[in-house]
Amino acid sequence: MKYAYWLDNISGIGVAKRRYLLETTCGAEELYEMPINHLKRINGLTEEDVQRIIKSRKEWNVDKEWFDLMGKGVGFVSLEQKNFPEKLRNIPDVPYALYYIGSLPEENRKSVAIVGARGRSIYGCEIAQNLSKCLAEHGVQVISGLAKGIDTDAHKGALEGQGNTYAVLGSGVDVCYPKENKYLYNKIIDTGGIISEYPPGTEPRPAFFPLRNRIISGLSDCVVVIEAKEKSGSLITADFAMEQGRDVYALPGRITDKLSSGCNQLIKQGAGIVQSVEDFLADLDIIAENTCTQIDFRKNLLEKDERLVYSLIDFHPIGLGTLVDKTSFSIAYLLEILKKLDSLGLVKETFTNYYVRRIFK
Amino acid sequence: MYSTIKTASLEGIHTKAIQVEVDMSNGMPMFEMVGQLAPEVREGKERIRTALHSIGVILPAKRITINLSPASIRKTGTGFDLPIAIGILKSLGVVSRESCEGKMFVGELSLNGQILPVNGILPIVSDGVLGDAYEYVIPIGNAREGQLVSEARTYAFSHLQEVVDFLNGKEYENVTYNIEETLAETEKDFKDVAGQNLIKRACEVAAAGMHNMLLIGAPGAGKTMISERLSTILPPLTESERLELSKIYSVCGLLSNNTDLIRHRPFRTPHHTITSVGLTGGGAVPRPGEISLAHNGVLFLDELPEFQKKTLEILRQPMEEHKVHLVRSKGTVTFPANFLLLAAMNPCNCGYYPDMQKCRCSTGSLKRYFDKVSQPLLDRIDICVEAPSLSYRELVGKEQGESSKVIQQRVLACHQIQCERYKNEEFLHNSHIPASRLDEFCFLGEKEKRYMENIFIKMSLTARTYHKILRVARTIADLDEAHFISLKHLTEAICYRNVDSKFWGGVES
Repeated sequence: MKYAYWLDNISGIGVAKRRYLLETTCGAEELYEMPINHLKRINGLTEEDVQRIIKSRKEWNVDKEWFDLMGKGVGFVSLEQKNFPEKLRNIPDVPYALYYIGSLPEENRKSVAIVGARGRSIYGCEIAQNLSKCLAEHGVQVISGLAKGIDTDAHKGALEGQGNTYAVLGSGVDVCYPKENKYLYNKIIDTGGIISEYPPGTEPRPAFFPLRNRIISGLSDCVVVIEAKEKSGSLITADFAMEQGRDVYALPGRITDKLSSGCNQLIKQGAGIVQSVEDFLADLDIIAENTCTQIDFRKNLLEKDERLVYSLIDFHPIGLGTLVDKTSFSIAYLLEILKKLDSLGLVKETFTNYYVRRIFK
Repeated sequence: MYSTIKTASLEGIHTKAIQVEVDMSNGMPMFEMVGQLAPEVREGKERIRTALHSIGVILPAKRITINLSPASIRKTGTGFDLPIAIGILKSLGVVSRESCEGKMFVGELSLNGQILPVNGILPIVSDGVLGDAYEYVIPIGNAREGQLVSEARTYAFSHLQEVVDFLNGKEYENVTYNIEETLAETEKDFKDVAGQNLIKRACEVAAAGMHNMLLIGAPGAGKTMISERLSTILPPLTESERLELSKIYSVCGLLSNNTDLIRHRPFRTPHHTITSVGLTGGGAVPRPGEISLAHNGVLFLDELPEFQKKTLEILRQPMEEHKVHLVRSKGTVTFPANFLLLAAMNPCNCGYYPDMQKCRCSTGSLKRYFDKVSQPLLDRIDICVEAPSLSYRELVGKEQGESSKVIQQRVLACHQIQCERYKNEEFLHNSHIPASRLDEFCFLGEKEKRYMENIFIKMSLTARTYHKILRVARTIADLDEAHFISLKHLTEAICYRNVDSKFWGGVES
């Protein structure tokens, strides 16, 4: 393992070449011990590559570095090990090694990746959270990317459902990006794991993020895209998923909503539709009891004015100003109604003076 | 021959009486002026000499010494030309000694003897009256300003020769001016604003308690249009307020001959490129800035985040004290600056937040946009409302809102209630209740207290926000003519609470 860690850290040797070396030799350890003239004989290695390997053999203290890595509490698994995730092993462009804090997803349990836009709407946020929560409650592992928006919602939902959730980062496992999610990051470590193909200490780089998406989809049985604009990183994940033979599901949206255009496009291409949480769970062969109940306002028997206000509130946040103009109620009266709707759990104030309809209780 | 003439010098919006002493004695012919003179006063020597020449008076070959006393005050401005010239004429015996008695002279001279208008005639005359000077000789260009003070008798002239003739006994013909109603301001009315009832109501509350206000809204929501109308619902200015305000404008040379004392509350809209000196006032000879020009009125800062942060920080102290002290090496000047701050801004760079379907901003850029606004300034803003963008139907809707007059009546009543309540206090409005006195003036019942406790925890308010809510609730209760603050007043006040960084923190779940 310590040799695999060395192999993964030779600068200038890419993922593909590492895999190639693994196929042509008997593994990292052999490569480390191999005499120089043997190294030179390996087909496909340029003179520069050989020099790099030799240089790094000199500089890299295998035992010390391995000891340091263990000291950081970072787990390491390479393609050479048996416990390398089976699901991932078979994808094209499989990473040579994975680093993780916490644990890796369990192989024999179902895993679902939930991905989507960073700047998502309330609709996407609620669905992602509830879907994730239901999945977690039924023992499904939720995998996402710890990014802002949908990723965060998915992790949060899974934590709420007391399930296991895993985040695949585009930086080293010890680098929490974005910083705001530090709390979530720590929570995920407790119940699941933070995973990355990049060595600890690697700072996030734009190019890393599309690449880590192949791991998100690779670790999952199925990928759900919640909200995505026409050009979105989530669609890259969906592409990887299709390439890897995973099921792709998309949450349908209104055709006028830019945030749903990517999802609708996926559906057009043949992706599955998340028609309802139960429906989706059934597709995964899980019979769900109705845990996330959709709100039915008729049951709450609203008064006329309250019904009017409720009907004006949508999944897009609506400002108090707009409500005042549309209802021509006095502000005090309107606030009274909103307070009541809020206490019934029908609407919620998303931020100062903006209201949205709630989907789930 | 020795003679003296009275004049005055500006100091902020107040004046100091100045004595011009002229002495002509035998000796080496020279013309010397002393008394801590600024360059423009010293240069007056040449103007005076030539102007006197133009009316046929040639300076005698004597030693002429002019002193402006008290010598300890620095003399600035061009208003000393006329009194010095008259002093010389008096020494020469061209005008009689008695005719100059009790008169104050102010004016600039041009080379051909014409008398040019100067700034600050109104404060000179109104302060002079307090100092027992009742007759003034002033430039024709400032005639109207002089007439505004009814106790004073002013004589306005356009040429030095006319002054000489008048002092030698010629009858003075009074000039009268037609006062034009300034229509531009009175044309603006709240009834022109379609929809936006929340904003209108917030404006009413702001005007009633003199609360500072922040408007957030998408481009084209009517923020500017509404803001322009805020000053129309403030109560009319009282006589003393009008005089004080007119003085500030006089010092800036902004009063013309066909205006009355300023009748309308000012509405100042400095552009966001303004410097801190432009805002607070300043310069080597301190002049009032925008905050003083907005005294007793509205200072409107459109596109708040575009203002230099440093410029805005300077507002903090004047907003607390309602005046601004300008300390310069030449002395300290205080200008009044009791204004209602009204600021407007977009919710984000593209203007559509929180509509995530339209907004193109990333969370980072939202935060950066918000961070551009100074937090201490936001802390001093009591009311914050968001203006929704209007649909076409609302825009062209025939439905007319209340007129400014109707709203003004309610605001006026509310001001009277406050006036009565705070008659023994140092402050006048609900927005200025100090935190230590809130319990006394914003008393809450048991039920209300419990409600606020819940809100405090639920919204994780800070003490400052909590106090602001109480002050605004007090105003809303006053508008309702209620003695005690009730739940409905509190709920409304809470919805005017200030946005915080959470607002821009992305969609909270």
